[in-house]
Amino acid sequence: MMTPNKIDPRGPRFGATITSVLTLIVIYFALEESTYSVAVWIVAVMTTFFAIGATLGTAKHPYGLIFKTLVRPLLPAPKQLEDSRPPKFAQLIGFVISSFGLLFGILGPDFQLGLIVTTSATFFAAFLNAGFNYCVGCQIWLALARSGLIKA
Amino acid sequence: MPLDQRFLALAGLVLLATFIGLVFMSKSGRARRIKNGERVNLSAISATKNGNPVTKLGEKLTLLQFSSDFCSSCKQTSVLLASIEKTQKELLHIDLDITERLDLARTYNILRTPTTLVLDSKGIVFSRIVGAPKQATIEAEIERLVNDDSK
Repeated sequence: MMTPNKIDPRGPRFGATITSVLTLIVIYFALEESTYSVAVWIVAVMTTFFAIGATLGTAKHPYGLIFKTLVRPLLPAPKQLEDSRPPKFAQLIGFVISSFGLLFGILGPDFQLGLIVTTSATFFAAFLNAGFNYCVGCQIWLALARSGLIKA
Repeated sequence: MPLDQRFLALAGLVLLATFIGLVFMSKSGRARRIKNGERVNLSAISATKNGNPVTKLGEKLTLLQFSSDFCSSCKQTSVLLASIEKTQKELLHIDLDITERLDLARTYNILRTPTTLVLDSKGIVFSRIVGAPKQATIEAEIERLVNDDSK
């Protein structure tokens, strides 16, 4: 097994803050038919970003790069570093959920409820991560692994 | 949908998420006393410490921590419990990685990591802490267990 990379734990939380705001904007636009396509486009971008985070890790994620270049220099050094795998796994969960959202979005406004429900789920996860430092995706891993759905 | 209703919907969402977050925060890291707890069998969990198998419990108390790879606050908890262990002679801290031992997660019903079981001198579960505990919580548990033992 590869030795896990260490990352600044504030990086993923910074990204989650942006995701929380973006998901709220998506829901706002998705509630109105004239702006529905804007919502779908934002979901498409978010899904792409989640895909990057899930494959390359949160440090290579666009928000991760923004954090590294613009935000981290302004902050004091982190008290401790964190394993990069939990947030990476959480990105995968985000990717799966927002992929469903994107599918609903592409299928048109008839599937508005689907788009709003999936985006709300992403919002809850991102908001809990940003505001309460609670990583829903990381907890889901244990539930999935225990039920045998994924291999540890 | 009218503008104000959309804002109302968003505000509702944020409020609900905040509520969930606050409930989570109030529950996380709290010790819950277990009445008639089961006895933890050291050889069954095949715990190791610094590479060596653990054969003896802490003289007064054992902190059995369940961690996993996909856990953001396990390391921080491990550091805290290890530092408490250093100051308490009769206390043993075991950090158990359940990433490869999901059978243990089932046996001890671990739904979140870190979960810490406070064991008494006989290895019986005294209390259960789900989430990252604060130092004061652990200290209070030590006191509670020691007082309970002397009764």
